[in-house]
Amino acid sequence: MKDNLIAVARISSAHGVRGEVKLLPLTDFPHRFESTKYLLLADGTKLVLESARVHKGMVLAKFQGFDTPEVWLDYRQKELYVTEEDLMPLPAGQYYIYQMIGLAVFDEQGTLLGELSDVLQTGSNDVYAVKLTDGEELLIPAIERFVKQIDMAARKMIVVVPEYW
Amino acid sequence: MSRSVKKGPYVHASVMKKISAMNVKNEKKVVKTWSRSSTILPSFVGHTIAVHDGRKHVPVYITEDMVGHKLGEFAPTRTFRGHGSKAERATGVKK
Repeated sequence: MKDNLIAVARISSAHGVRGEVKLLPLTDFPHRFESTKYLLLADGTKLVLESARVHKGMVLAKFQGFDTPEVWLDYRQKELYVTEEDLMPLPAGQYYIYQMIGLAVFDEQGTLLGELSDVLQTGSNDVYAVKLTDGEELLIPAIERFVKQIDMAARKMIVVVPEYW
Repeated sequence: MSRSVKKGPYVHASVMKKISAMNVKNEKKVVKTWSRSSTILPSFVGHTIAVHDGRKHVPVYITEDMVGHKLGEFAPTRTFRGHGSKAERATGVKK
């Protein structure tokens, strides 16, 4: 079940005495919870959202049937998921990281360099970590000058290998 | 106590030398540096600097709003990988 699910939050602790819960968002869209109808646990159990609001980087949520703080004790640190169909739509040129992992990476001459193994999120640009065919790691900054093309349908990416000085 | 204004912002000599040389020649190579404490100056904007995070050089593209910060702020030394589940995190190519 979990393989088809995308994590969007982790349960932190109960908030207040009316059964609200504090969620740590694992999504780039913390305001998504204000319009989400339900979230799933790893075993597929559906939790129906009554209300949610963003507060100091966390999300305070109220779920149907959870009316006391004690009920959350068994759920602490558990992750909440959505299905792929419920993912937030992305603007053109943006992709979900989990979808990009494993893309074949080619240079401009068409030589296979390796495959995308990780995406590092720095304070500035993202950085694509490519596992080269010889086992080494190559870091490509996700900027137009170095990433020429991302083709999700063909599962490949064309990059310019940075020249270091 | 903050740094004396008289001295100006701290930038490691090798970074300054390489960026200045590239600005004169209008070149754009990725500058490797271990100097995380160097301040980002306006002349760095548009360049890519590979800042060492203790293990590897993380290439960081310098934009206008990064001026005044230190290079190390953009190459985190601790990487939390999460607990292995797929998350709703997006990425894209910066223009």
